[in-house]
Amino acid sequence: MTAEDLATADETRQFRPADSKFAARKAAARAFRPRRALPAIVVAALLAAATGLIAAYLISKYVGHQVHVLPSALFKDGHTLHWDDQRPIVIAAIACALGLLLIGYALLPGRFRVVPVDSQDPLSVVAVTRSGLRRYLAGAATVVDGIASAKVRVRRRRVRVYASSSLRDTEGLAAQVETAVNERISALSPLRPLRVRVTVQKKRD
Amino acid sequence: MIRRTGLGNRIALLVIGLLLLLGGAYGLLRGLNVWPSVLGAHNALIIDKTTRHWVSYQPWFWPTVAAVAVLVFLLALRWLAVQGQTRVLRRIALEPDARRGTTYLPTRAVTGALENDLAASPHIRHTSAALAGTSTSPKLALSVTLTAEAEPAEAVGRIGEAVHRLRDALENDDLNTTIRIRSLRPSR
Repeated sequence: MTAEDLATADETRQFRPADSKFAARKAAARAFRPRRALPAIVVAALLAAATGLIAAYLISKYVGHQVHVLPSALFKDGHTLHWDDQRPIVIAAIACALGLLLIGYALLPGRFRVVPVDSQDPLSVVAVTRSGLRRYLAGAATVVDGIASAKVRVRRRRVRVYASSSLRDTEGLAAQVETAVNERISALSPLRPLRVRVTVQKKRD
Repeated sequence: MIRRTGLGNRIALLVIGLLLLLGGAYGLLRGLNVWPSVLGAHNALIIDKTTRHWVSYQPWFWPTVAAVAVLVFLLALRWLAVQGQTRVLRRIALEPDARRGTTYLPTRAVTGALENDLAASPHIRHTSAALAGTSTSPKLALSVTLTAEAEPAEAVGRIGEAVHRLRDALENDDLNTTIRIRSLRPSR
């Protein structure tokens, strides 16, 4: 049990319609998508530091003990710089870029570390780790006669199988590997369909 | 406490991102003299005389800025604090209606029973279960490690049955469950 597993459980919400593939996919996405903890920690820390300094500066002014925690150049700049000076334009451009980055973090789902599969239960979400699925599918490929070893890469919508064969004639092997891998995938029924592509290479001896 | 940190992080990042983007876009467009009639002259001072005079005649202005800064500071600290680890429940309430008295069950009994149930399966090498959420509305987190030879599809079915039995035993049909399945490297 890792902190990740617990946090995943905390993301789930009660009740969803049964027999809806869309609802199942949404629930799994909600549970397993990245939590964006690192951007959140960085932004929260910067925000706390900035607002903390501003508050300390202003409050100390009213209390009567002025603490100079803010760079005094900041105030001078505001009174001397124009909107079309270089520095304000560069700062504005950086703010735009940072804003777009944060919006991207917020709206893009992010890279999943797991592959959600059908749980056949409206209150459960199940996912297989990428590495687990990779090993499982590589196992299916090596069961095919003539395949010596196989490497699998699992992407969001695609599975890529690189198999190597010691046979001289590798014709038809790719189709056999594809069938074997597809069989295992359909047994597991991932919530997002996975397309399989197989490449068979001859093993050099 | 039910925390959905992931969703909260995304909402907060979206709001801050939008503020940065809008502020940056305003500065950029004004500096490049786009729509001067709407945004103002591009060769004006950032803080001009009118603004300075206006601020100096508003006694509430700086105290309000200070109050907003303190508020945002506290919110940012809270945001930092909720990034910490989710708490594991130590006990759950068996009787959802507190007016009829409460019975608590240690979660160790629940998770232990589930772990034992799954240990009987030949596909499963190791199970670790914990309850998160609140004691009246717990959520089950399950991490299952399969043996190298296991069939994950069969294991999913087997885990589903075990969770079902657990729901029956707890008389809690709404127990949300998240299951993460790992598998062992084959030993050669």
